[in-house]
Amino acid sequence: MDPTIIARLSEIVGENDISTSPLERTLYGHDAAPIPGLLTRFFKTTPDVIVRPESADEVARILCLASDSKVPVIPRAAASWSLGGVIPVKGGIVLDLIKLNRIREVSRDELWVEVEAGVVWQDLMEQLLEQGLTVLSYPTSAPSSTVGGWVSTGGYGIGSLKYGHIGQQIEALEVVTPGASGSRTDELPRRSLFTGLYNHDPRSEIRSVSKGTANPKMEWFLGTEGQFGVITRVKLRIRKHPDRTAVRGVCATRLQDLADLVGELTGMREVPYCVKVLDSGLMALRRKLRGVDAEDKNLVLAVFDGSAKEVRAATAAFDQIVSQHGLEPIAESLAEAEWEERYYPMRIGRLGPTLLGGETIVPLDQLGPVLSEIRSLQEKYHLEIGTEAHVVSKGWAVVLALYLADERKALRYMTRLAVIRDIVHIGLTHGGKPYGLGLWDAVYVRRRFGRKDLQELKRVKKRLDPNGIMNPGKFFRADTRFGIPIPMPLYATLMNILSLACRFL
Amino acid sequence: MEIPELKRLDVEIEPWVCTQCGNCRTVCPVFEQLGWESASPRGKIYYIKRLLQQRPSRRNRMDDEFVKRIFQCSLCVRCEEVCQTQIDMMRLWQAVRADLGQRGLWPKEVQAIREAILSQYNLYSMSNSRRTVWAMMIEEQVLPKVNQMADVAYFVGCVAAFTGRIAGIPESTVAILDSAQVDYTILGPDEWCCGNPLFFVGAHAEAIELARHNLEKLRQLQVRQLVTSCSGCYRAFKNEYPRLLGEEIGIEVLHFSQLLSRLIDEGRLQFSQPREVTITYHDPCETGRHCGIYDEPRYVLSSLPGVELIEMPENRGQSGCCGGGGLLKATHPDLSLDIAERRIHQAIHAGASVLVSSCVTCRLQMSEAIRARNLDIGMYDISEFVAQFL
Ligand SMILES: Cc1cc2nc3c(=O)[nH]c(=O)nc-3n(C[C@H](O)[C@H](O)[C@H](O)COP(=O)(O)OP(=O)(O)OC[C@H]3O[C@@H](n4cnc5c(N)ncnc54)[C@H](O)[C@@H]3O)c2cc1C
Repeated sequence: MDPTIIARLSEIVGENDISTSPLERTLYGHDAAPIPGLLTRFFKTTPDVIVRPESADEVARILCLASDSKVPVIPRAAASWSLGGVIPVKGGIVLDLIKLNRIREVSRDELWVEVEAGVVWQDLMEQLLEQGLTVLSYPTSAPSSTVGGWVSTGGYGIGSLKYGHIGQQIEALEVVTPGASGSRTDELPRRSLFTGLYNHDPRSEIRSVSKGTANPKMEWFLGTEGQFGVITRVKLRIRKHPDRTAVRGVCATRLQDLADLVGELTGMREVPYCVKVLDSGLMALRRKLRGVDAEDKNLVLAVFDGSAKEVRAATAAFDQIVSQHGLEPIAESLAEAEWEERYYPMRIGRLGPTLLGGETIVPLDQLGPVLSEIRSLQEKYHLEIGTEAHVVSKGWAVVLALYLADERKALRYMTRLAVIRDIVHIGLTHGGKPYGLGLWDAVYVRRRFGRKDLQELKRVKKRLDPNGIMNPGKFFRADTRFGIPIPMPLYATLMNILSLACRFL
Repeated sequence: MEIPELKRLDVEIEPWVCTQCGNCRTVCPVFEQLGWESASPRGKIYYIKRLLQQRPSRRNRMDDEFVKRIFQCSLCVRCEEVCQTQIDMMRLWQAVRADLGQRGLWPKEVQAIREAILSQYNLYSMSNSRRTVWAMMIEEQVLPKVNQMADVAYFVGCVAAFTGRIAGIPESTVAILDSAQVDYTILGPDEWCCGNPLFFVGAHAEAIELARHNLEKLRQLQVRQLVTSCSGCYRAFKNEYPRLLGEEIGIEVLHFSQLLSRLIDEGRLQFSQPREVTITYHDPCETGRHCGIYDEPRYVLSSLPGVELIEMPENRGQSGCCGGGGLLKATHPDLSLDIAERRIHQAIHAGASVLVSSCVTCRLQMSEAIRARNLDIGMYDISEFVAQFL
């Protein structure tokens, strides 16, 4: 990278917040997924420089500079996602958002909080708890992941069933978009948070996007993985911390029995805060981790919260539904222990030693067949696989299937990657969608958005990021370092070969 | 590249089970100060994995910055508490530090500490005959106790023995022991460093002589119970010695806070000086997370007349670190004070006017930070604090 760019970046963020050290560049060239070296070689995953802006103004200056110089900018929060969203594809500037970590304002009366995008969910929850408040929903990666990261990716997790997608909880966003080249970094628009839009300005813009604004639409920044700009602040609705929480669990041998139960739970008058299914594969792996023999049992966990009265009514209704289904609840203490483990879906990784996984969002009425088919991958590939499904709305469930692998055995490990494709495909054949795209699932972009929405997104991309500097080479298509994208047919062929090898190696 | 020490300490698998989820980043006191991936546990583990993936070649070398980062760690192992896959972080960091030692890559401060311990049997390169220097003002009370046959031995530890600023800790400890009429001995010049600083850098083999010597002396005096107010010595005797020697040491090891709790239960301590004061307890990493002592010190402190014990939000297994451990104080003193300052602010924010801990290093470190950063709170070791009520 041109040293003058580095020098100018250093002027913007200060010398303590920029690094070009070989160690740091190595460490900012990956995310949570253990991708084999053979694959990453198709991309220039090592960034040229890492910067840590402290304010939206600094972000804006960086984007201006990058846009002028046509250098990629890769927003990176906690890097807890695993689809390659924070991995550079053609080097460039990694924008580490760790310093945007202030909780700006909490309104107890109106029940909202305004945070910088790099605030970690758990920190936010702890701070709110001091005032008897809490968030509406959160990802199970709450101990590490950030508010901005979840807005930019999936947005479904614990609490979604009751309070909806993260998008439904956002009052306003502050975003910085790169604008066209020829901009002047010394003339930034003045910031006025959440009061309305800036007039269109050719330079890098700090925009305030509220619910209902037409242009830009807030939706453009939800789940678009840093393609259109950098989210710098989020105003979120929150709630009073519930007085009571009750956890209930039900076991069954037949997956379909539990899938039926789950369908009914979503129709309850007192909507559960969370409903999730852990299939027998996952339960077996967890028991194996504790050195206990497997049981062929699947588990549904349902969590209710609210006032003591509400929770009492909800659990009574739940017990009735369960008995109508002829199912047996598990001991409350066991259900509670399972709930305590909610932040640790990857515990079983120790058995791998590597853990790989695939994720898809599927129609709720297809949950039974989807889980059964995923289960059958165990036989097909002779591997140990376990699945967790979060019911996130009346109609949908996010399914995360995790399986054991061993990164140290390079060839065999490579073939294991094919299983991810199978998991996503099982979802797709049952009317589901990929849960995210990033780099590794960018081939599914059309399946995710459909033709019309995709065209709109492409138009938005052109308008907001005309020089294509924001997180390039993913989401819309997976670009290799040679400038050639990976087309679906090539991807499919490659995966078929790996899949075949995986069955017989 | 090979890192044979991983095998020796039975942590070969650990770098591979890391899911890179980042939970450790949120709690790591060093990462909180520095904020770069290379300073986070997961960043270090990722790099270790990269090293293991390199084909052996003479051109392989450790990145200098990585070496620095490995010693930018207080071994508080808060990372272990939140780890998705429950990585044995302590052993992992020990193994990597040991490997760096074999490559001649230890920081000079670590080298100096090692040499001091091996040549003088104490941390500070002092003559070990001066082990009872702390008792200068109470020689008549203490010297007769040196090398006596007794059930109980008070293991003073290098830090308390040689650091004049905290001589109050051993002074208070013997005052309490006497008040409860405990028949105890101290080893005096025959007390050698417990070896904990060597364990911190995975130099187990070098610590073996120290362990054998200390245990032999204790056995000669027919000691059945060892008491120490140093959380590092406690950890060494309790965790490391049995592992190192491959057998139980045959002596009950108690932290002073545990003994205090027993003495209170047995009615052997009378507190005649009530004092209205709001205090909070800081869990030392080495007695807390490393050894699971959480209840006894709280029990002791709540038994003191007039004392209100309040908790900081980060307590017990989630307790913040004082920054003084893992040789961080020696290798990166400023960073270590920054960490202490953060923890002290938590105590002040909680509304305590006195901060009590049960570790000589925490006491030294936090008192220094309070002075250097002009903070307004009192700081005592549990022995010093309890002695005020006698
Ligand atoms: C144990 C575990 C549990 C998980 N549970 C869930 C779950 O329940 N639900 C779920 O949806 N996911 C889950 N995930 C995946 C992941 O944690 C989430 O996607 C999380 O929201 C990512 O946040 P992050 O801060 O780590 O973002 P990163 O991984 O750093 O970034 C993710 C993507 O968003 C972009 N981005 C990040 N911040 C910004 C910003 N401020 N502006 C613009 N672009 C940005 C990045 O460029 C990247 O493309 C889990 C992961 C783990 C390891």
